[in-house]
Amino acid sequence: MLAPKKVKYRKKQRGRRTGLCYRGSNVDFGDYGLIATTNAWLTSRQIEAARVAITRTMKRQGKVWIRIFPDHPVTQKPAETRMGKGKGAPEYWVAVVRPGRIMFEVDGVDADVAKEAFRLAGHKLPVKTKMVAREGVEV
Amino acid sequence: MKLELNAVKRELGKKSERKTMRQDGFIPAVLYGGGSDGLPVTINEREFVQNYRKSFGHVAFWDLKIGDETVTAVIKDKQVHPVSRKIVHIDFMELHKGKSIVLDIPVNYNGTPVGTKTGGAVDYLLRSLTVHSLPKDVKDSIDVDISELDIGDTISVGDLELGEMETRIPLDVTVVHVYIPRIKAEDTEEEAEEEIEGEGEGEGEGVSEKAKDSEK
Repeated sequence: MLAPKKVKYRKKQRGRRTGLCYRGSNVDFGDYGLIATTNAWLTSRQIEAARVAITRTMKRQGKVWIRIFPDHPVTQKPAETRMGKGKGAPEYWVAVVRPGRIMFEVDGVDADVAKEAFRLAGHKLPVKTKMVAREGVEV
Repeated sequence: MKLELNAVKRELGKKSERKTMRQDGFIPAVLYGGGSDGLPVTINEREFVQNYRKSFGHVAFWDLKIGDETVTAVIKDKQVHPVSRKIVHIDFMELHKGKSIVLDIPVNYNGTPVGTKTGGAVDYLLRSLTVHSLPKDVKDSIDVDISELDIGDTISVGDLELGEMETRIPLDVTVVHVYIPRIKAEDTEEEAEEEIEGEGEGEGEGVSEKAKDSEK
């Protein structure tokens, strides 16, 4: 699963997820891309599950790019703990995804295969998704 | 490739006016170049998109008809809405004779590499190349024949036929190469697990011989 190797600070504030994603919203590497049309925190497990769904559908053909990285730590307090006594311990990592973000890209497969791969991957993610193509490539 | 497009001068106006303009099927654009101030114009979205689709894979020179004038320009920048993928704004740059321009020329790959038949995969690293050139010397596109590429073969910027155009990208930068795909160990394990599961379902509660072998 994806996680940062080293971080400067272990814990982070939650931040905001408002607005659209203008950076990372173009299909730059492959022919087809999967974009998020809503915002969410994507955990490293969800990203991995989506990647596995894509690679299995593509049956070792083509290439997959993961355009997001879970670099935001999420902390949780232990169960049955009283409030206070500081922030909880880091539990998992998430990628902050805003509408318009290209999450995955694929190349070397037909549009139908890419569509099916992205449909299955979309079911693993907590965002609504849409398939887009590079300029000049038919969806 | 030469394309024609009608454009109408517009006032800079408010953001809300531009929003209404887009809802009515028009795209706000700007024309600049040659030291003069930018000229805000409006273009018809439908007319533009129809022409723009023709230009995929080619360099397009747009003849903009603004009133009685006709100006030749190229698209320098284009803003796209991240979710709806509609074009929101276009920057046209006017061309002047004898003045060098910086353009992105599309790189078109022709053929299927020989290496793909023996298990290789193609990696297209460059889809367009930034060149410095006079407008008259600009090529329509850069065509690269990749049919003879075997596993391990690469084509770099220095191998491209640029004609009179110049590029400032180092000549040893790889454009396309054929490689042997690396399969992650995790993926193979997952596939093996999947096979075991599939066989298990078919044979009821017994574990197949194949699965036992793989466990060993």
